[in-house]
Amino acid sequence: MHPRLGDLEGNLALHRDWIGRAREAGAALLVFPELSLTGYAIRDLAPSLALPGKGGPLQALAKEAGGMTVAVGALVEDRAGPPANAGVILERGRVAFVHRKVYLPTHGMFEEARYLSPGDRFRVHRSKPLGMSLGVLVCRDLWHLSSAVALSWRGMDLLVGMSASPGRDLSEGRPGGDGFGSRHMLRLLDESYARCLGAFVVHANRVGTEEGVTFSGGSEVRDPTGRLVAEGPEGDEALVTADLDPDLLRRARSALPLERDERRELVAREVRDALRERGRRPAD
Amino acid sequence: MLSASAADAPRTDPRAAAEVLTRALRDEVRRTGFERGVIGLSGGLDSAAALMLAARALGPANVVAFALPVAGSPPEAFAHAQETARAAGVELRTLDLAPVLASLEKALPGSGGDRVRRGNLAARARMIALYDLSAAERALVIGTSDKTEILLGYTTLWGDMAAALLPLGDLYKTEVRALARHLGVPAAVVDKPPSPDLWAGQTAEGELGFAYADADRVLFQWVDLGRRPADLVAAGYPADLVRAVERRVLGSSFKRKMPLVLKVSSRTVSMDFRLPRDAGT
Repeated sequence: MHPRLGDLEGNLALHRDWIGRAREAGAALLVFPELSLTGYAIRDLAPSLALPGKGGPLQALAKEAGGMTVAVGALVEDRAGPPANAGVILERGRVAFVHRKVYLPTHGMFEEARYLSPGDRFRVHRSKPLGMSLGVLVCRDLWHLSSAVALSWRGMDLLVGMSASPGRDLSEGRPGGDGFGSRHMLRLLDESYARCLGAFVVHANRVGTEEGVTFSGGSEVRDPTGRLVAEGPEGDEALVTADLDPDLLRRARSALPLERDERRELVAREVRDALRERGRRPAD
Repeated sequence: MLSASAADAPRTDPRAAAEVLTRALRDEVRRTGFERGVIGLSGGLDSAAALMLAARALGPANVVAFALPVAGSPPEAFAHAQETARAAGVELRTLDLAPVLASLEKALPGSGGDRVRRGNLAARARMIALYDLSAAERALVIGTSDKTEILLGYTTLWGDMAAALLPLGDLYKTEVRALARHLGVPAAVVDKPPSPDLWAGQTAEGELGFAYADADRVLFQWVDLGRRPADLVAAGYPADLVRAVERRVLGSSFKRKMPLVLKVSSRTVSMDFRLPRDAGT
């Protein structure tokens, strides 16, 4: 989808439209991209666009969603001051879960930490209607491999990826062929998470432009074997639909039992050791 | 002349860039409430490529191209503008700015004899014309500067840099040439040396003192790949070239900024309080 920058009312209306279309398509889960309710390049509009995590427009939208589980991208008020860039799960008529984006990219063209507060945890949401545990990661969270691993350790069955990824790199010979090099990276991440964590991946990436930047689109759904089940266009809005068979989780994790074999204590020990070692190096 | 490996040079895929820029140009024009664009067509490479993109993005009937000649503009430039407009399917109109420039030169003693002043006057006269045509035609001014020109500051402040959008602003000159070829810009326009066309025999490369292909390599290595100018020299790039390019980039920063606001309050516009330009659209 292509939200309108800084137009909360207009975007709420767009969300109601898409929810209606998804309902007609018989969807149980609908995933919107990052900051779908506000647009991405919000800068100092952020305070005016922040919503309370409970009640307010998110609650109203949850009612609208009815029996569908809906993940929307919103700015959510934060006690630290600036709002958080959040992936919000609406389910059974209420705000069921909020993931605050942990990694706020601030380099080059990105300036999120200037305007926003970061989240401090990765948790899964156990969805009763879907019978699965959902992990939500917002855009840059996905590029830090440990985010998805942390969710996997908490039992994630389905990774909800929400991105507003600016298209970068059209150089000749870039990996992945036709589209932006940056979008190819998203595809690699989706496939790797699906296959290596044995989870479904539903990743919505927005389209359109803001401030001269073109978002790279190409939302996709992967099954737990890494297979691409559905893919959206790179430049146009679309409702991308897929039928997911929950039994595939069992079969994929049996065929390739990475989750069963994961050496969590060993990894935790290694991480603790590495942290201790870094702590001894004053240069860090 | 440089180490000359193909990987040194910027190489944006012209086909993919055409797709992305067509869409982005359409989106960024329409969100402002405009359906149309106006472009000053010089007969040169950049304005030709910008015109082709605009015709694809908005439809040829929604693009207005103006030839804006001044005294000294070579006749072949106009012929090239005509050829380009024909290729784009866009109607070319001519607005003769020679009398405007003559009267400015008369009112501003010494400006006519000074090449820099005269060049700036011509660029700013064109800007005034394009912005008036923008209002008259309900068409957004589409600028034609490319990444090389923007970085080198080979532009006139409030002149040719004045535009609503710069669709070619993220492509180096050599990349614009490849894009122009892909978009069907006539070969005569693609292959001729870039020139402001203010007097006979003037070329951009003659004025800059280096070739675009060489400058593009240095800029690409520095800006895009993050190599430091001193390291480029150490790697065998000609020191004169690297220094000349670096000097031009640093010395022209003011052309890429809005005027400085002198701060006294705690929340200064554009320094502390920054809004997106596309808000509400």
